Amino acid sequence: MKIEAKKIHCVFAWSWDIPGDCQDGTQGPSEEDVCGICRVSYNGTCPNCKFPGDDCPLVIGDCNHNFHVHCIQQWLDTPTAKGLCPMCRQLFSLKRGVSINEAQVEKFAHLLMKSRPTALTTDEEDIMMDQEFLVR
Amino acid sequence: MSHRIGKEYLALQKTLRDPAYRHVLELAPESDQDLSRWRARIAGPPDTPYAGHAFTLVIQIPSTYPMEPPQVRFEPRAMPHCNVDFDSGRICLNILEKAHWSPAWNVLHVVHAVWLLLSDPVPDSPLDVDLACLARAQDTAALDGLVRYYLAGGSRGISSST
Repeated sequence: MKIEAKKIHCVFAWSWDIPGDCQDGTQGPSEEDVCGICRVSYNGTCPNCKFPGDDCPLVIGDCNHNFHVHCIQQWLDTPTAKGLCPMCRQLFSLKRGVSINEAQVEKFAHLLMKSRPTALTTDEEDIMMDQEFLVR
Repeated sequence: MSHRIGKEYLALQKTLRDPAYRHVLELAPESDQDLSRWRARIAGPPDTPYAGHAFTLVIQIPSTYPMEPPQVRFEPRAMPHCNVDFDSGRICLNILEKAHWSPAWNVLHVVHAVWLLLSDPVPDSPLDVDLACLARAQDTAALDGLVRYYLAGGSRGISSST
C-alpha cells in the first residue's frame, strides 16, 4: 500500500515555563494547575483578559504559589491583603531567578512596598512562636 | 463580577457528593440568573444540641468577590449560638471579615467553617451574651439545655427550624 500525504496541519501547544522546584506537588505542570484566586488554569487568563500568554502573564511566588499577575495584583491592591499570599499567608514576593517573573519585578517592587504591614516584626514573632509551640 | 462564582457553582455539583461535605444538604444560588444570592442548608453537627435540625444560611456574594468575603447569615431567629445574633442571624466568624479573608477560600469553605462553629463556640467574641456566659462558665448541661429549648420553639419565639 502506498500512502500519499496530501496536506499537513501543524499544531502546537504552549504552557508557562514553571521550573520543577516551583511546583506545589511532586508532578510536573498539568492542566489541573489553576490560579488560586480565579481558579482558571495557569495557561488560561484572569477573568478580565481575553488572550492568554503575554497579555495575561503568570508569576511564581517565593512561596511557590503561582497566580495570574492581574489576579495577585488586584489582591495585593486590596488593603486587607496586607501583602500576604492568599494561599499560605506569608508575605508575597516574586521568586528570584525565574525567567517568567523577570518582566514583572519592577511592578511588584512598587506594589509590595505599598502593602507591607507596619507591624511586621510583631506579626513575624507571633508566627514564629506559634510554630515553636506546634513543634513541642 | 468575577467568573469565579460561576466556576464554583459548576464544581459544587461534584464536590457536594464528597462524603466529607455530607452535612452540607444544599448549596446553590437562589436562581441561575443571579449568582450573587445563594442559600445553603446545613445539618446540625452530631453530638451537639443542633443534631437532628437543619439550618438555612443566606449568602450574599459581593461584586468584589473573591477579593472580599461573601456575607453569610442564618435566617433571623433560627440559630441560638453564642457567636450568632439571634434576631438578625448575623454570624461572628473571623474568616467572614475582610481583614481575615483570603481569596483562596470559596463559598463551600465558608459554609463548612460556619458548620464547624456550631460544634466549637467561641464565647470570647459573643453576639449572644446569655449563651456566651454559659459557655464561658463551661456549664455544658445548661448551655445545651437552653439551646435545645430554643430550637424546640421555647420562648424566644422560634418557629420550627427543621
